[in-house]
Amino acid sequence: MKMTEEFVLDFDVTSPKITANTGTMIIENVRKAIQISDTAVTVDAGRFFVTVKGQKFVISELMEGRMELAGKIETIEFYKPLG
Amino acid sequence: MPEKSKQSSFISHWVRIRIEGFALEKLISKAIAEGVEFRNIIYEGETSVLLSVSYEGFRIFKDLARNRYRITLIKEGGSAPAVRHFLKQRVMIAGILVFILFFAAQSMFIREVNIVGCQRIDESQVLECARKAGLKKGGFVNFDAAKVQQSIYENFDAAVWVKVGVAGGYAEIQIVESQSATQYSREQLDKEKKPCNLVADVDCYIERVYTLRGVSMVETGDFVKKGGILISGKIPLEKTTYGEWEDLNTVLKVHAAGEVTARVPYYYSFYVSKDESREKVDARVRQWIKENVPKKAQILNKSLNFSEKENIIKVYGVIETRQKVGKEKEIAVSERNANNHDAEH
Repeated sequence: MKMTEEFVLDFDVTSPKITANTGTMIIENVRKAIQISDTAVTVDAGRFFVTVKGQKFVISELMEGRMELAGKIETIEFYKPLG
Repeated sequence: MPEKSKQSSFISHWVRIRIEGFALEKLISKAIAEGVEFRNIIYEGETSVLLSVSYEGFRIFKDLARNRYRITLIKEGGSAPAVRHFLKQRVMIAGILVFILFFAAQSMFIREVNIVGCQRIDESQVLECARKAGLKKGGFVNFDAAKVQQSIYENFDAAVWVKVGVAGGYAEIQIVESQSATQYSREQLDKEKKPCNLVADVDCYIERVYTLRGVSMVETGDFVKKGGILISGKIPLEKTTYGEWEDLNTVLKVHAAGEVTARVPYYYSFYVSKDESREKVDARVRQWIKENVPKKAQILNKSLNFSEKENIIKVYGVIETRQKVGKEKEIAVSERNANNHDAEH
């Protein structure tokens, strides 16, 4: 990746930024919660919707566009909203 | 106006709530857009979610929810409710105040007065002297230490250095006595001016005699009857000058003092019936010792004999003790005059 591309990515607030491991996940640039359940969480993160699937989900923090999710994470999916 | 920290609002007051209704995500999204922050969102079912929110956020959240959602307050926490809860506990506050007052009072009064370094000076007299000067148990801690020191110096010639100190409710009087100081307070010194003999207060066998003042009249092994002179207060003086009175010896009368240790036999006897058990007899002997033998006496030997006469048994024996003997006996006036008369001739 070129340096300019990396720079743009760092300051892009229209797309989701995800940091994850098997037990915790942080999604940045969250605008809306679309679906919340203990096995799946879907959020609107600007240009994409992000769906995280897994088990025993607890949203440990939801503030200032940042969602911290705890639980067993199995899959992360990105969807482009229609329209 | 600077924006209030969201973290601090959580610390000061947070609430745990249950929201019930349809499309909960919508409500949460609206709240996010308003800047409300959430913690520990737990999905309970399709129509129920548990979450924590700051109290300020909760008010916004309630406005957003209106009557379309059911909100149940489950728990609240943070420093503000804790303070409110504490202030409601009036009895506890009163208890704490009483506790603080109690400790404050403790530090305002003298709890204990201790005397260090007294060997020959009587501690109770020093305490009495200090009490008169303002230092006493239960008195205020802000007494005049210099006055107490001065008072002790004035009343006890033997005290060569006195220091009065206070730490909290504990007062300490440190005294250093002079090496040559003879016993004690003025009252005792006045008393000691009176000439007297040291006489035996019981029949005894002398073991050891330390004479501080006067002339020892007994030696180790001597038997002395009650009233017999142990240390005489009359010291014979021989004239060292030549002249017309050269044949005449005179007597110096002093207050005899010393320490005499002796073996003292105590004879006891009593009668018991034949039915009396040995334990009861022993108990009576112990009781007899308790009543007749001084507490400080060291018991050396104890004998127990029985003699049967008709229906009763005589119990008798001797208890031998080691103890300090001697009491002061003032030299009689007639005795003094006789001596003076001798001196005149």
